[in-house]
Amino acid sequence: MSTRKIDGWFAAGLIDAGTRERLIAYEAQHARPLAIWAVFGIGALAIGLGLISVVAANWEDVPGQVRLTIHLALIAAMLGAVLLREKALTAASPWAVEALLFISAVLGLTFFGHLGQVYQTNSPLWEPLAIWLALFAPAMLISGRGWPVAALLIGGSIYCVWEYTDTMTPYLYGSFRGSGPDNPPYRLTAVVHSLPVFYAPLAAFMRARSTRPDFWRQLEQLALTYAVAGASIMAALASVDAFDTGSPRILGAQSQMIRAIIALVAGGLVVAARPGISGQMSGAIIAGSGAVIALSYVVSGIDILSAGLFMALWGGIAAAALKANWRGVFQLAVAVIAVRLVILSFELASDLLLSGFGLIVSGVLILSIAWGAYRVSRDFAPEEEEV
Amino acid sequence: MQIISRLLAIILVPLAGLGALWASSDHLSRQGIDWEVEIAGYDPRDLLRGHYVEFTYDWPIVEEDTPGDEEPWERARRIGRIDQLCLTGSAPVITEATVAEYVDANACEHPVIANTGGVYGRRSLTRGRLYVGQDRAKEIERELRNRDQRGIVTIRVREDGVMTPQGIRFRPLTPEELEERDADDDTRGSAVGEVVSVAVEPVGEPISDPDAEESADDR
Repeated sequence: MSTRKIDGWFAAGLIDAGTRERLIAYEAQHARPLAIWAVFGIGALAIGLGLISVVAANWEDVPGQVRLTIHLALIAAMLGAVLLREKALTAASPWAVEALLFISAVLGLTFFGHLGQVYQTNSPLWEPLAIWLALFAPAMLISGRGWPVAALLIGGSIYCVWEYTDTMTPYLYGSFRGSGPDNPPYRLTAVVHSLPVFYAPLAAFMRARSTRPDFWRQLEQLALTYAVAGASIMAALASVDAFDTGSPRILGAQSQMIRAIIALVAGGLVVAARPGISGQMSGAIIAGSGAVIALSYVVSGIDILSAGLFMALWGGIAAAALKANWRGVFQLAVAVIAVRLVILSFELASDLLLSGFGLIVSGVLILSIAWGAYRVSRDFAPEEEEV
Repeated sequence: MQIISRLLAIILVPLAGLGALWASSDHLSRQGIDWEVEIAGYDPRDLLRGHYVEFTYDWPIVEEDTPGDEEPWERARRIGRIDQLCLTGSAPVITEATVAEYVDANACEHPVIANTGGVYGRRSLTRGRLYVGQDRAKEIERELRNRDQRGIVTIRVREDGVMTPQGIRFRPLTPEELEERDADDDTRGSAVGEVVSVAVEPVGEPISDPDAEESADDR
């Protein structure tokens, strides 16, 4: 910021000479030379891209062992910097350690692919992902500071458990792929792909005991999102009656019960691990997701009950958000319920849409739902407070 | 205490783990005997591992008919996959590959067993892939389309029957093979709408994966 505006304010009599001096001194101290940064940034980007294209062009000519050595040395250097210089780096920029950790974890993941490329090995994707989690999750949990590492950890875990499910249950996407065991372990896969929910109680427990509460808060939110997304998908599947009557199956009664129990346990643990309204509501949402997962199997195929279940889930989330003063979550819940109401009106009145009058009624209904949701969201949303 | 756990989590576990994996991959990759198998193929892409060439193995399968039950090679052709093979010949030349349901370790000197845990599951003896750089992948893809030559993949077979592709090369078709191919094309071309009584030698078609096309994007 130039001092021209400050001079202008002084000239107009808005600020006195003392304030003007202090403002100028403050600006000088906190100036961010964006132009210089931009030039440096473009230069660094050009060098980086150049390096990448030189490496890529000669990829085949560099022996595999040399490539792997360089790859491992890069990871070692970054992790070494995190281990030895964490304090100094954090003092320089709170994002430095986070960026180093994130990049070394991603490089660690690509190392598996690189090994496969050099030695022509192949294995189902969940195996390298699981080994990667075993090797890098401790470092991420010990040093993660913000959402990039939290999202990488949760995202990697979710990807891994669903790859495992996909490999073990060949009918997951509706077609037999010729791989996977003859008797898919449906109950085991149900346990495995519910496991990421347990990041929530872990994070809830660590939040008050750590110097990195932001990281644990984001980890807990992401795990909660996983539970809510799972319950929403189950409620949506109930509307189209997608559940298997035979058990055990991926969408059979036993698998649903396993998922429900795991979510209920995880929710209970969150409540126990994090005293206070916010912890209680967070735990209640996760446990409620478990209840919805169990009920979705029961109401499967009944339009109005399935929609009711979905709206009960999100109504519960809205109520929890009201109680814990989560403004954004409340508004999101209201919006989701409104969308589901619109979809329900189509489900129930599909034949109405064939007549002109029916179309008008539906249009009016949708507009009034949107207007109602907007009013509720504006008038009843609580003031922002940290989740 | 905290220093030790940090040292463990941030340095030792990741680096020692990756290093150990590397060492074991390296060790395993050196075991075994190299053989050459003819192939046919096409080329997709794997996001995590970069480029590879994918192909179908064209094993020199012996078709011996004995009266009675369905032969293992017939079953393999019907279900589109091979569980186990027994190779004979002197490496790298395979003179015969016998399809077997269970290879008797005493009777077979060079068994090959499908790696059910791999990306192709139980089809890993019919389909394979070779990871190569982007430019090389394009080159190989072009070569595979050239109908005047055959692709040959070198595989390394360990004692426990696990096989790993090592490399790919091409050789021009011999005059007999060219003739055979042209004869094959002619019969296919003229067989529409008329009865042709040309005796075509049964050239054992490769046991191909029936849903190779649609599941080409499988991991």
